[in-house]
Amino acid sequence: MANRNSTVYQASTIADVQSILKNISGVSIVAGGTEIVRRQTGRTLHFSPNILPVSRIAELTGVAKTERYIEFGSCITLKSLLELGSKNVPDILYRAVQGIASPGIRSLATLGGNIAAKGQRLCAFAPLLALDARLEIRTPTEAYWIPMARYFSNTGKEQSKEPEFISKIRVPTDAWEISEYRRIGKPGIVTDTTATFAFLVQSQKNVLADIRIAYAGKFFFRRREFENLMIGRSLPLSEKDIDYLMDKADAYFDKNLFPPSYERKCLFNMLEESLSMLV
Amino acid sequence: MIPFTLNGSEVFIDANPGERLVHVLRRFGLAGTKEGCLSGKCGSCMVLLNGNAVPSCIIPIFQVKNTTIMTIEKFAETDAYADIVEGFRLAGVSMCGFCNTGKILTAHTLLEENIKPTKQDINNWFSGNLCRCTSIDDLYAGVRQAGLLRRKRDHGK
Repeated sequence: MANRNSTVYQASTIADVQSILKNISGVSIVAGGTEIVRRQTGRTLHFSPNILPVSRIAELTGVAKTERYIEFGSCITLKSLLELGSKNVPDILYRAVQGIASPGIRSLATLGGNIAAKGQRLCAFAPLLALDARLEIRTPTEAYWIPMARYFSNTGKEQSKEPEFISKIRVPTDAWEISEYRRIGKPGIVTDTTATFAFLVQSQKNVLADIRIAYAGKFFFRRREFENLMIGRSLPLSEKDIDYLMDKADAYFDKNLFPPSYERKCLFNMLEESLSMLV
Repeated sequence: MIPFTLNGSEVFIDANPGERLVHVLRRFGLAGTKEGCLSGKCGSCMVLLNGNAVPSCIIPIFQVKNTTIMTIEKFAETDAYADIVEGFRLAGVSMCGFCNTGKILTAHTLLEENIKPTKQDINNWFSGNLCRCTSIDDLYAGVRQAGLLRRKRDHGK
């Protein structure tokens, strides 16, 4: 809880952040801070006793593009990401970010903050999950890359024993023939029912070459086994194929974790509608 | 002590790190920035942070270190403000005093990026402003009128 005794640490490089994390325990890293603040309506905002703002560290706000991927510093603001233009950012991610909050908030909120927010998954999560984004994680002593799907868990166990933070987000820039992004819930704001759905399709000579399906709300799902059921099928799909896949989906999207509910119904509706695009 | 530039002057503030910028501005006697929803949705607390219109209620004071803040009081001394107010007046945009800070600063940032905004651009940019005192059609006309006045002024230089 922030009070007069709260300490705000300053870092100007990633090495500074690592050093602070190594030497001081219980430091909370704050990027744009919009998600933390959104949940608080009191006069004073509450943070942990040790705060480390990182949003203005130049190394964390850069962008690098190669032929195969685009790499964002985790503290790139959503506004800066949109300023790169729709040609430089994967279409599905661009559209997702366009729909986030208002321009004022987008100039403060960061991409890293959007995916690292605890609890309800925010709008860039499903597109990045579908795009097979990888995260560079920094601990006080090392840096390593990990697929986003492996770093996060539905049970909130992504916190390792060591303090760590996301420093880079690498997003492959493969071309997708179908790139479908859906958001449910009230536009512009995040509520308990907000969820996002990403659907990507690549085909070669009328054969489904790759398909990605991701959902993020209270829980997130991406099942490679389910996607593999579809890869290699001839296009267009038949109605029979879709019925078969929808039956299979019920088994793959875990009922224990994601019990029958309005959100589950929405996911299945979006899935069916997206698969119908392949008929 | 947190240093930042407020309306062109270097200032230092000794504040609880969790204090919201909108409340700190009051301590400087700047009452043009209104406290509204405290969740960044209504736009009545808008300020220019490094040139971008942002809701000051969602900015904890420790985040403004070494930044440049301009409030409506200082912005009111600029030609850009005069264009927007005149554009709004010509289009009949009501100015209730509570939402006008947000409307003016949002219109300014929008026109900085896009001098000829479409209705969709205006809808998108004003999605963070709640206003019950004017119609959306008047707002479209007002922002476009302000853009026209700004273009004329820029050409006149």
